[in-house]
Parts: sequence; C-alpha cells; structure tokens
Amino acid sequence: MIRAPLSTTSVLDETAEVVSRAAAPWAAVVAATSLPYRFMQIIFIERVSELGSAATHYGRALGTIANLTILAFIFSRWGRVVFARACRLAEASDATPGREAWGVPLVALVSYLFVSSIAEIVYYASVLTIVGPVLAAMLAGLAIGTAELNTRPGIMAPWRHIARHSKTSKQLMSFVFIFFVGVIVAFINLAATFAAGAWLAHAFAGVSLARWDVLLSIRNKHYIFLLLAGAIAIVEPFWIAAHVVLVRRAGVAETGEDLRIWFRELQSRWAE
Amino acid sequence: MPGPARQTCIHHPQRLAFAVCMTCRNAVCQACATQWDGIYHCTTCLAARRTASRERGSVAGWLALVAGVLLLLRLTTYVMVWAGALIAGLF
Repeated sequence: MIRAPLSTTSVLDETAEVVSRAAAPWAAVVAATSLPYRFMQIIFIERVSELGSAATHYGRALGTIANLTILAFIFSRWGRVVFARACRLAEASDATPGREAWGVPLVALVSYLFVSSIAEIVYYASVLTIVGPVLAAMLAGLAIGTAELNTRPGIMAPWRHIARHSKTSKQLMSFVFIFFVGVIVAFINLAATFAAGAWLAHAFAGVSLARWDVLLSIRNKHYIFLLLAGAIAIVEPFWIAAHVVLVRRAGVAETGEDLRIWFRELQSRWAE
Repeated sequence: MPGPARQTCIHHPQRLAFAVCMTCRNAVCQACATQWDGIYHCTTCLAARRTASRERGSVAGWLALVAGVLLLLRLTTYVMVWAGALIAGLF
C-alpha cells in the first residue's frame, strides 16, 4: 500500500522505526526527567483532593508544591528536547544517535520552554473543558516538533514555526486521539502486569496477598495515579517522535521533496 | 594638463566606480553598491551593519525570551493552584 507522505499512518510507521533506533538509551532520558514532574503532579492532585473545598484557604501550601512542580516541569522539558534531537538524528542517519544528542542548542530549549509553558497554562486553565486540553496537547506537540527549528532567540520566532506547521492540524488532532487511546491501553497493561506479578508471587513464592490486594486495588488513588504516570511515561517517547517526524515531513512537503520521494517509491514498486 | 583620473571600484580595480560608500568613503562598482534608505553602502560596510543589527536583535531577543519564560512559569504556578482549588471545590 502506498500512502501520502503526510498521512497519519505513514507518520506513525516512521515514528515506530525512529523510536526503535533512538529508544536505547534516549527514551530513558525522557522517562528519568519526566517522572519527577509526574510525581509532583500526583502529590499536588492528592493534596488538592485531601483539602477538598477547603483548598482555597491553603493557597500558600499549594503554591509551594506548585513551585516544585514547575521546577520538575523545566527538567522534564529538557529531557523532551534531548529526545526530540535524538529522534531527529536517528531519522537523518538511520542509526542510533550518539553523544551529539545531548548538544541541544540553548535557544531551542528556551524557545520550547516558552511555548510549552503557554500550552501548560492553556491546559490547567481549561482542564474542565474538552476542547482546551485537546488544543493544549496539539500546541505542546507542535512545540516539541518545532523546538529545534528555533535558531534565533525571540518570543515571536517559535510562533512563526508553529504557524507554518499548523496546517497539519488534522494529523495533530489524530495524534491527540491516538495517544490518548495509547495511554489507556498502557494503563490497562500496566495494571494487568502488576496484578499478574502479585498473583505469580502468591502462587510460586507463597507471598501473602492480603496487603498487596489493598495496595494494588483500583480503589487506591495512589496506585491509580502511579499507573497513570507510568502509562504516560511509556507513551511519551512515541508522542515526541511522532511530532518530530510530522514536522520534518511537513517541512519536506514545502520544498516538494516529498513528491520526489513518493515518485521514487512508486517507481521502485512498479519495478518490482 | 591631464584630466582627473577616472575612479575604479576598490574591490574590482578593472571596473569603473559607480558610487561612493557613505560609511567608508570608498568608490565601489555597481555590483558592490547597495542603496539602503537612499544612501549607497559597500558590501563590507553593509555586512558590518547587518552583524551589529543582528547582535542587538539577539540580545533583545534573549532578554524578551528569558523574561517571557520566567513570567509564564510564574503564571503557570498560579493557574495550577487556581485550577486545583476550583476542581477541589467542585468535587
């Protein structure tokens, strides 16, 4: 089957190849840098749910946790940019990227931090709506995809790149849906893995499950949040790579290179 | 008495001068002269001006970008707390 170069399925196909080349060890960088942020988010949500309607009286305490969460947020964005660079290098050379993936230009990192902060604000401000988080996810995706295109500092430069690639909104919307489903599937798989592990420990090692049943229960909020953090950590490298591939392909489409590649692909298939 | 010597381009001695660069006062040919704001500049002076302008733009860009990031990160903490308190109050 021959698909259009910018189709969602062809981008996802290439994403799988790129992640397989860049995953070791660069996916570990994403996981190691994003987990502190996810844990801080969990702590924040837990404190808010504990306080309930009294949360408005504990603004300072929540603010302290929010500040620490934002520090972890900065660290996680750095990890994302490193992985995005590793994906771009893997895509360009058809090999596992080496140490050069660490060399993220400062202007790319700060520009990405700038746009992803806005995406984060949009997300938190509209968390109770459906459209807001979807838009925030699309903006965050374009931000990581275009991060390395920023070569000059400025607050308008990142928006020019985002505006130029916003014509891929159909694919971006598809990614939001696909990766949302991906997180749910990863969540279910993680829960099943832990349940199977507990069952095996009981069956073969005689471990008492009385305590573990309570800890690994879906009624345990901590467990659910940790599963969610784990599921996001599993899907995140694919999400980053998909946007890097999409932005690269959209750039290629502008120059007409995509048509040349497609034509070569058609020629090779006719020759077979 | 011989007439005044015909001037040639400082970069291309075989070409006749077309204009005088208003920055370095050297005579330049048509290929080397660029009119900017109604004034002729040679390629060297124009490149120097461009570099200086880029450096100024770069510093201003960095200042704006870093200030924007700091402001947005601060705003994110406020929005996060506000959203958390709002959701906690609702449920």
